[in-house]
Amino acid sequence: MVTPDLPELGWRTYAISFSPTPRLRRLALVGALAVAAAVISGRGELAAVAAAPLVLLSLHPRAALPRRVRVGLALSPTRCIEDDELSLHLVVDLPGAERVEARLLLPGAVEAEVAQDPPEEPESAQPQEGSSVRWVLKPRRWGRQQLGPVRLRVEAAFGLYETTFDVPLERVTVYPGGGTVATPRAPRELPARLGEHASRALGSGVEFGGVRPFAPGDRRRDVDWRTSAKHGALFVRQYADERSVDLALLLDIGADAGEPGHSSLDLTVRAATGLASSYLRLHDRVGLVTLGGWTRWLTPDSSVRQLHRIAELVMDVQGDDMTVEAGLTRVPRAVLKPGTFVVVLTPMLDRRMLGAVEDLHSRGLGMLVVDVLVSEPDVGARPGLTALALRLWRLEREAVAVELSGLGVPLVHWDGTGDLSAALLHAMRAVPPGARA
Amino acid sequence: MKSTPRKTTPRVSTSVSTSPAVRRTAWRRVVASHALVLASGWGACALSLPEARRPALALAGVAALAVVAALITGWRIAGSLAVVLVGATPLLAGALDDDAASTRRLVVATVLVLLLVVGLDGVERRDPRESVPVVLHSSTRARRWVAPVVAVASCGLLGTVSVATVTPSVTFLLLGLLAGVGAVLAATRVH
Repeated sequence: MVTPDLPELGWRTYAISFSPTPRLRRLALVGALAVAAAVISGRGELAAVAAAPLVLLSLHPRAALPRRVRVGLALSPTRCIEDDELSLHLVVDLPGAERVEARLLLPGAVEAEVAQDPPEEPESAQPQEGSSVRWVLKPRRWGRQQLGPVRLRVEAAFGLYETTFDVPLERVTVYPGGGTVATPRAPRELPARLGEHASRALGSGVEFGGVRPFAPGDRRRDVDWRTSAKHGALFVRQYADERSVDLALLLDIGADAGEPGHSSLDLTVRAATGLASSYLRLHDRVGLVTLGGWTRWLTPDSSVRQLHRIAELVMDVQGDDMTVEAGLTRVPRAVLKPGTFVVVLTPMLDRRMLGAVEDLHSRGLGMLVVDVLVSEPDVGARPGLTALALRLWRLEREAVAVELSGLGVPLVHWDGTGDLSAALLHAMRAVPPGARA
Repeated sequence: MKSTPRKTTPRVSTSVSTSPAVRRTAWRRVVASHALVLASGWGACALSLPEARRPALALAGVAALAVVAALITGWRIAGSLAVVLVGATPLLAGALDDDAASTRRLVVATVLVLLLVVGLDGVERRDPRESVPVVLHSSTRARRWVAPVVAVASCGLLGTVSVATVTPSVTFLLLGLLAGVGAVLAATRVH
């Protein structure tokens, strides 16, 4: 297990108020009972039974209980990727407490365990004192997760008084993990922009593109001596121009189906992040459009911050209203301009997506549709109508696939584990719709 | 496959998973609390057996049942009822018979009732839906049990004094006055 770096503790002081426990009330009850028994029966020795509880109560006055507690808290990091480890370090400084218990409350998508090794004392200007515990948290699902609170229960004065209070935690941003494309592929025809993909056009790259007869002005180092010797005339080498890809990711977020953590929305977001990460690493321009909820878009860009922008944008789709009617008409032309290759990530549950694909096809854009649905409707074991409904549902999806095939748009199924490189290569090297005529 | 909800992230709060060792310790604590409640409750009830006075025996029987009910239900009201009945049993026996009101018997009864009260906390705190909390700090056993030992000692002292034959004197009177003033001062300063 990797031990994350322990950050500096943030100290806060909380005002606390202790309340009597059932133990205190019962002791008082026993004391009163014994005194009453002694008085009623006229036997003074029975009052001895009252002595123990009353002495216990008088030895632990409420006024002597602490009124403030210092709590040091450090959560790091507050931004991470799915399945990363976070460290939560809690220190409670409360002299006079008899027992301090902590219970960490978390959303279902976050797992946690108490670190087995004793917490190391982080270097801090603040004194590190009191009782401490360190949890290792593992967010299993992307999104903005509100962690905590940590519920602290403090017992004091032989368990006669107790108090419970919550220590709030920060919100953690969990970015989706993505590893969808091992080798980013590029279409044959690329826009005239400097990049790292060898294009069909000849230019000043490093990949061999062919030979041609020597012409005045050619550099001597470009002369291909072997070819020149064979033909008895000077020939020079030509190189493929290196250009960048314009990639647009179209996210169909209108429906979310499947188990949390592996739902269609989860796979959509992971695939988008993985694709964006792979292509931005090669300085390609990546843009994004979301359909189904609110229509959002990011103009293709190759800057370092684009991945962060994309990740932040997909974070917002969780709370979208799926009933919003929106299409590609509102998306600026710069986002989906000619030459852009579009990857459509969809569970194919909404026919509005098919309309968007037809729209893109009519614009002459190359496309790959990725089906991210990994589960079927749970109809149980009941035969009859439910089974028929399931068959119809399958037929409807098949019909969508046939319609896509009719348009010449490649369709690939992705379950969240495979590599999309081959499918991308197939789709990108296919003849673009505009070049058919 | 579920229907098409927009939010699939479960928002229910869950607690931290605990290691088997921690869970074992927690279970041991729960079992120890149950054993303590049963032993102390029934032990206090059994103190009324030697004299075999019918009212005391009847109360002891009811108290023993109340202890079992408190163990099974884990309800606070059942626990409080058990404490009252168990506490009342030796008092009733002592009120009915001189032998049952001996200092030794009363001190033993006091200790058992105190243990019952302490044990009931562990019985009532269990909640199977919640995970085991992390104990950040727990004071040492010696420090925790100083006050109860002092309390039981005072009980024994009072019991001894109450049955002793004391000749009234000025010294005793002054000591009594001094103790009273000290108690009043202590009560007003710290409570």
